[in-house]
Amino acid sequence: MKKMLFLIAIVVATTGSLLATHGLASAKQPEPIISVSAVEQVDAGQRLAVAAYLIDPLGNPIYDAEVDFTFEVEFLNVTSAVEIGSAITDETGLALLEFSPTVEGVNLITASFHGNEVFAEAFATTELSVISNGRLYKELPPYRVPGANMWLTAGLIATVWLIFIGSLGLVGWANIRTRGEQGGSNA
Amino acid sequence: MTYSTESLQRHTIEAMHRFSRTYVIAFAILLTLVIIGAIAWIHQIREGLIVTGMRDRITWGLYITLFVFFIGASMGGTFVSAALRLADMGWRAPISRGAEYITVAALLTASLFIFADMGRPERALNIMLFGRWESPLVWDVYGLTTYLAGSMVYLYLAVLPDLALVRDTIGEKLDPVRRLFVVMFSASWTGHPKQERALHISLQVMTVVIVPVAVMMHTVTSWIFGMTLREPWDSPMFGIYFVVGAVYSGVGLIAVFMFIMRKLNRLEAYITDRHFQNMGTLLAGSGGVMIFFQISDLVTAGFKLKTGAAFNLYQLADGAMSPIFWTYIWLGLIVPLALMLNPWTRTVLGVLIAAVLANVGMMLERYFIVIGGLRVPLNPYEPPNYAPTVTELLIVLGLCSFFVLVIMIMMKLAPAISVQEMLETGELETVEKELSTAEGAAS
Repeated sequence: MKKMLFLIAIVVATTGSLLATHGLASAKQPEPIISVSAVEQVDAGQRLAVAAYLIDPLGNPIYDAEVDFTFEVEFLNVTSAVEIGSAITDETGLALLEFSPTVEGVNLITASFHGNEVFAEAFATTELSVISNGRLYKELPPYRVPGANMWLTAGLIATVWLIFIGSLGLVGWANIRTRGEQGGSNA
Repeated sequence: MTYSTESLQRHTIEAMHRFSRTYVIAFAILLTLVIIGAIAWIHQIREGLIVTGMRDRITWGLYITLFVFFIGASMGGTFVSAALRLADMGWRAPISRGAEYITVAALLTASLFIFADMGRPERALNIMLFGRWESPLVWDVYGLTTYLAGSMVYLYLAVLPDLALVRDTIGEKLDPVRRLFVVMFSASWTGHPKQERALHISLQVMTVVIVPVAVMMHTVTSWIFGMTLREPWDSPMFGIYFVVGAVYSGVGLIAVFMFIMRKLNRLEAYITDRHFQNMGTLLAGSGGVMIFFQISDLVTAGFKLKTGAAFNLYQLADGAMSPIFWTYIWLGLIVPLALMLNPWTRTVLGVLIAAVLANVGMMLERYFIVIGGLRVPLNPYEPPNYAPTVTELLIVLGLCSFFVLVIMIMMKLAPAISVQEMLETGELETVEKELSTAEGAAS
């Protein structure tokens, strides 16, 4: 009985301390506010500035924090974010990044602050319309092949691997079935 | 069992069992070079890629050049072994095993060149875990692993009856390591009709699958370049151009391997002049197609003379890349083709010379594609230059030695000529007839 009570006490103490730590951590880490802005429309290849402001819940700028910027690209119906760079906030909480988008169409720019020991993470997005200007290197909006996606490719690769394994398995199975039986060619 | 079958078994198994002085010395030298290469690689890991000649503009150097070259070399193996099997060409039988060895060894070496090119190789797994499907580099990783796995399965299935033959004939005489290998991998193969049938089906399936996998692999490798926004690489023809180049250099490499193996193991009775002549024909065919592609590429780019392509053409014709380019054109393409089209020079020695030249030529071609493409400025700055450092050269030498070493090890684990295939294709009877005709003519 004593042992039982002792175990319960340990479980309660551990859970309590974990909850308390989590609560404290949450309490310690207020969520900052991040905003991101850029021009609404830009020519492909034209350099533009993306500005992100990072402030605390009271409206004070957060200084010396790293903000990552990502840009969405799409290929074969798969959209993913490509990191275009990062910048450190100044005294006014401003993180400024310059880059040249080459992917035509309406794309999302995301500014992310991944949090630190003081603040929790935060992110914000803005739309950017990239139009063609007849540059030598430009990318048009992705061409959509109906039904094509990366699962199809993954399925194809998996099928090839299954054929490899199946070919080995077939010989292995024949070996197991005829184990001990003498054949002719190696006599 | 005929005398020829016994004789073939004895020859191939003896060759596998015997360690000649030449073999031991060559093995020791190559192992030393591999160790030196490994030390140079550790130095590169510790100091970073700054110890190489690669910089921010020339980001790919000898490592990627040789990666492409060895991927190409592997294609020759698949072509000779699997594609000729599909075409039911019996003469492939005495050389198909060597071709399969070259495929696997070349793919292993090519993979290591990728690691050599990485500044942080410990992050290699991240490309599987976090790689983006949109990147041709990720396709290449999946392609390479699939091709390597397929080639190993194909080699294993082809070598299985011969492993059992070794186990049943000289298994007891082998050293413990090789005995363990042979016993473990020959499984319980006895040559039972059911086993034979299963192996036949598996090999047929693998033959049909491995050829498109190989072609796909080379095409994807070309896409690493072709899908980058650089004008000299901006060609939809790059895929097939790489595949044909791969067959050309791969066939050449197999011819060199055939020559060395025949000489070392005294296999003149089984790898005859006819086999070399056939390889010479393949070399001429693939070399001819390469010349056609080269002309087509140069003429279309030269006619339009778009900025980047024009820069590339000028650097190839009489600029920084011209010695490499013209050596490739003359020694790598025209001389081998001339040697192989002329019946007087389509001899064993002629094929060997043409094969060596073809490989040197293809290595140079890979070099000017990679480095030449990166030299084209994207902004108005002076074109950058690249020269490999001693560290880079030592790593390259180490990895090339690794390639030969792997083949040498494989030659001692299983017979270098497929006894099973020689019997199946009737090639043994053909060489026997050739031998008796030659003896008759001599007497």
